[in-house]
Amino acid sequence: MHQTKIWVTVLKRTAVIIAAIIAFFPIYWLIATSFKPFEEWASWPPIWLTDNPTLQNYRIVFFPDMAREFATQQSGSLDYKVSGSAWKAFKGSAIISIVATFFSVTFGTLAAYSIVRFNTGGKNYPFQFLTVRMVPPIAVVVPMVVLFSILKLSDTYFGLILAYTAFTLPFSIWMIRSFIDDVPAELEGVAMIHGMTQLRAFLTVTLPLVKGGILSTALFIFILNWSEFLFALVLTAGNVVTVTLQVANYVSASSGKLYGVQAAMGTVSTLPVILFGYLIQRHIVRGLTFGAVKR
Amino acid sequence: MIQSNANAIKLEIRDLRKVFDGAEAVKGSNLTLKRGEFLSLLGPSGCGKSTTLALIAGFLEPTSGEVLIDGNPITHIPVQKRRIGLVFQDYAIFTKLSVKQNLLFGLEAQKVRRVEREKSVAEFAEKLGLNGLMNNRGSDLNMSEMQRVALARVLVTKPELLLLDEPMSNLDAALRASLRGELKQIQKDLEQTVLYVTHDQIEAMSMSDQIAVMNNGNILQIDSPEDIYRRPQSRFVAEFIGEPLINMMSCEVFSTSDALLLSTQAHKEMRLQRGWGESGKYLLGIRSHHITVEHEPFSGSVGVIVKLVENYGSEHVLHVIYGDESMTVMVSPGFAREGDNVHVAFDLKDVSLVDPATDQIHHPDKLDETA
Repeated sequence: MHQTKIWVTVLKRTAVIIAAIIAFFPIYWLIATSFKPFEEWASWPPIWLTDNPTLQNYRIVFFPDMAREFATQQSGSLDYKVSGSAWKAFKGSAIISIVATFFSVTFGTLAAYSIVRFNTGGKNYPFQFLTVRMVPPIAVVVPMVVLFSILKLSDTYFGLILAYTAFTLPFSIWMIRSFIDDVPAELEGVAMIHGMTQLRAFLTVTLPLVKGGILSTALFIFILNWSEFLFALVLTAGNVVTVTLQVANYVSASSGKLYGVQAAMGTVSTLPVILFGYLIQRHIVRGLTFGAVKR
Repeated sequence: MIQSNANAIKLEIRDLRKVFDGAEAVKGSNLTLKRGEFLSLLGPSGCGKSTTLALIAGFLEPTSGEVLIDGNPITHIPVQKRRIGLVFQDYAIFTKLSVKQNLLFGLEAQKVRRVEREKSVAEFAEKLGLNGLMNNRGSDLNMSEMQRVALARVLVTKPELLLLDEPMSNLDAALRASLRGELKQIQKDLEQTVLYVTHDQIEAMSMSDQIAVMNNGNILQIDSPEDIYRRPQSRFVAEFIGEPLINMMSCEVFSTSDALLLSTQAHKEMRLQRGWGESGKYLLGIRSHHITVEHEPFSGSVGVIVKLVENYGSEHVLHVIYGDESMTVMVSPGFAREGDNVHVAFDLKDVSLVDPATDQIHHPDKLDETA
């Protein structure tokens, strides 16, 4: 009896460990590759942990000119000519992702409140929002390229912000709706009975209660925006560069894809997301009961 | 002529109707509530009483009709300007705020001066016995404490009219009994006008000056608790009020040359006074404790057999076979056992006669006076 319990525990733990290995392997491989010298990027058999760690890949990401000189000294072993700059890409991604996330969450909160409290659009309205996400983005890319070029939005920050806001809004509404749904209308009722307008009741009573939910949604939307590739690719032409585009830029004519450099860029670009997640983690906990109202 | 302040009408609702998606929740209610009066809106769940409350508070807009406070129509005034207090069924305490912050909430929202705020809050904390709880968080309170906090939070703003939506439905029976007296006492002390929504007849009976019985979106009768109990005007009111359920026996009224007579299955030709009404078949409503019961036959009694004895503690309820119908009779404990023969009679002045076609009730003795 006791014996079987131990076996069940062992099996469960093993399953968890295997799942964790599968989940963390790409991250491990990304980081490991980012420190490998050129010869080991795609060698066979694979090198799990390099014996010759180098910062060369990071140097290329952050200081492309220095890296180029270095490469010349190494007598042209590798053509390090890459287009674009990581700095520009980080700036572009930061502007677009932050602004688009802000719009998405702001409009999402207002729309969700309206849907929950005023039953705006009727019962099926929230589902209609989700249908936007049922269309694979690739299907709307061509019309969007045409539309954006007519509207002169191609290759602008505003254009990408607009596209990202539109495509993440359904998620924002859907997620925030569930948080607002958990706040009893009676709490706002109390505020209104005591002389507050509905807007003031929303701002003073409901908003503080759903703050954690809104921040969690913001993190989710930020990750979507930060890692978006397709729209960034087709709606820009060099003026606006995002992190994901820059990863794809690390290609050389003679050597093909620069896996090590791409890995370095990838590693660096996950840092802002981790930082954002770390900063808001104490708000993400949703264990607190909102009101004294039984559901 | 100016009405005296004490009798001024605080709340009036006129032909109030509310239709939700084609379903009529409130069907043209009329009601007046005098200043300082305690009126209960009593009815089963889904009868429209909470909707009526929401219409008065302003959370819902009526389909038609009017709500007036102090004679002024407020139907189109938003909730926050109505100066009506409301305690929700689930209290809606701000769980993250302390009790004191909860009490201060309304006064802060109304931008009352700080000194006055503190003074009022201290006064009502004292009145409702919250002094020991002022620094507790809302989430640490039990149901009865929440109820007090919710009540204090609204009373502290001195509302023109206080609406209470089933405020005791979350409390257990013992607590309810003690709070009924307390709530009534506070209401009297403050001369607070109260509209109390409940489905519990004991709450309504024990606290109210007036009871409005509601069913299916209609207010069926507004009367004092005494008259609601003794003189129900419809079958619904008669059966909704009172424990055990009022007896409804079949009976027939017929006239002879010199008298109007009433016969039930067991009692024959009881004499009704003239001018009472028409001949025909009726239901005779009689409450269990209005029936006289003896071991030996007495004037006007008929013999019946005890089928079942129900123990209410302080009283027993006999289920007896009356004709081929069942009837309940209230007796003191130990009066009779199952299978016993007892004798029962009742006075026609305690009887409600229900017209089966309309479910309206005629009261023989009341009509006698006018005849």
